[in-house]
Amino acid sequence: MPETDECQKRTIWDCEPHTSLILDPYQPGNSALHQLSARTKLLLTLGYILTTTTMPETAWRVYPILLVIILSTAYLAGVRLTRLIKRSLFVSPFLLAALPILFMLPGEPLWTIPAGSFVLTVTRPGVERFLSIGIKIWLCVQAAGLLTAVTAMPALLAALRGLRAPKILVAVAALMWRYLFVIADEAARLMRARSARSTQLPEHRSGGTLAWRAKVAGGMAGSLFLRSLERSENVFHAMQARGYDGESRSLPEKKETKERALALGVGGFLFLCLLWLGILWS
Amino acid sequence: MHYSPAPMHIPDGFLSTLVSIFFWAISIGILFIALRRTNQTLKDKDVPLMGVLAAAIFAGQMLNFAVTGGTSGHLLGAALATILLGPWAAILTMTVVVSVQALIFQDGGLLALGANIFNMAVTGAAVSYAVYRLTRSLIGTGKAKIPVAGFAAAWFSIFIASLSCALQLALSGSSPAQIAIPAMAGIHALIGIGEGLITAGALVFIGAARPDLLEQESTAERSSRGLLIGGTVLSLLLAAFSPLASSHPDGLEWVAEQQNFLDAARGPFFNLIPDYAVPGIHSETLATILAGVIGVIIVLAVSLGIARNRRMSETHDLGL
Repeated sequence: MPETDECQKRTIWDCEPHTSLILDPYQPGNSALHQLSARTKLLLTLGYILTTTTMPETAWRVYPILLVIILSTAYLAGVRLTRLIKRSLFVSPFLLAALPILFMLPGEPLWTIPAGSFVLTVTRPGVERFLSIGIKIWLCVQAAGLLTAVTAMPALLAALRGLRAPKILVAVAALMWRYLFVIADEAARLMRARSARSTQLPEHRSGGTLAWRAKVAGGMAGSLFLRSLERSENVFHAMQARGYDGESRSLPEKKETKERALALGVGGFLFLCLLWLGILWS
Repeated sequence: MHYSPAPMHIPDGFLSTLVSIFFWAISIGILFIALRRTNQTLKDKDVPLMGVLAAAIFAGQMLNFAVTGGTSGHLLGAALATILLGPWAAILTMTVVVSVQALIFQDGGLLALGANIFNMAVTGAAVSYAVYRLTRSLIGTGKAKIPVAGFAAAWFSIFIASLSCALQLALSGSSPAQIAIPAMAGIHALIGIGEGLITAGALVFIGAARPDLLEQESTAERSSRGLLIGGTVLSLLLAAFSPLASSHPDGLEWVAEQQNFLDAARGPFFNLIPDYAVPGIHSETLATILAGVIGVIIVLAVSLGIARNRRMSETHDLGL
């Protein structure tokens, strides 16, 4: 495929570098959920995901409750539901990996598909496991999506620090987030420059061999790394000039122990009840 | 974020809870060692270096090139990070990349993050490191040989990581071993070529522009015997075990059954407890009551939330 096809694809990346800011999933607001501390929200999200993945496969009547919890919370927080759901559909390709499970689990046959010389038999346990995996993925992605829609990245990092995540990892993640969009713009400029220098006549093959194209992309990656390396040196000098001594400091996390305990208590109780229901109803 | 969904970021819901927690424990253990090892040699400068390079790896994943039929190769970066930063720092950097992808972009799950860190950061860097070192000692350490070793390191890192991913899926019962392993291995053997070519291209460029970066003692040349052995053993184990597991799925199940692991891994936790007979709790009535209680809680929370939201927006409208 010639190089110019890259340009016709017209992704955000190769056309409008500054729109990469749109990629930040945080939607500012001042709902109760926005004001809850990031640590509480992170813990509740993890609790929700843990509950969902631990749920028995056939807890069909609990899944709608779990969905209602996410969607109503999102609605209350003023998060655009269409955006949340649209984002959650992105993972669907991964479901392909679970497709063979439809035919592989032994059990009551539901229907058969003749496929050439052999016959594929869809079984009830296979369908049940496939569906439950699909539903669980969908629910969990929405929960994580909701968390990032109502929590800004710096608050999330502070929460991780509060939960005793290693200091270096959090500091590296903070710097990564700070420079992600800058460097994404840099990469987008590289892609645009390549598109601008590539051309194609109709009916004519253009672009070099695969190895040549890979070498061009490799050169771009190499130069992106070198530029980032130089940038990191500048960043380091700037940090030093502002008194950096190997320790990154931030404002203390918002204190709201009462609300936190209440939210965690209610949330934990709800999740346990749902798990119990799931076990009863499966 | 626009990039092709890499088939190696496992979402939540795919792995069973026990498998997720198992790999979280392993990853945390290895991260602990990596933190201790880097702490010994960490300079002030290394935190911004790792941060900005993590961003570069993330952004570098969108540098793609057309392969054929609308598919494209792109960079994942574990091998390049290992060669430029050294293995331990690469594990930390890739961990941050994978975590931010999961946390912010839902590319990979939060509960499954432990497994994703194990596949892409730990396995990716350890295998890259072992293959890079071994290739260098096999074909010689000349400067022209660096991209060759880089290609091998990149291909193996992708390939072995995909085997690890497939085994995790099989263990969770989400995808049968005899299909998941050959499928993942086949796809990633191709993706690995793209990764290898870009990595080699990047090393050619860096070797021409800043040859000092590939010679410094901070690169993969620095010896780490433990990781060299660990990466080699991990590669060999996974490479040997995967065809075995896929051609004899019963074998995998047999091993797992011997360890009493499979049922525990596939089912949720409470399958571990065969008959939890709490008196009365099996009644449908109680379930209905519980459902009712949960329903009331949700309705209450929703209405309280709406009321509070409205009050807030009103105070906002008044400019208070």
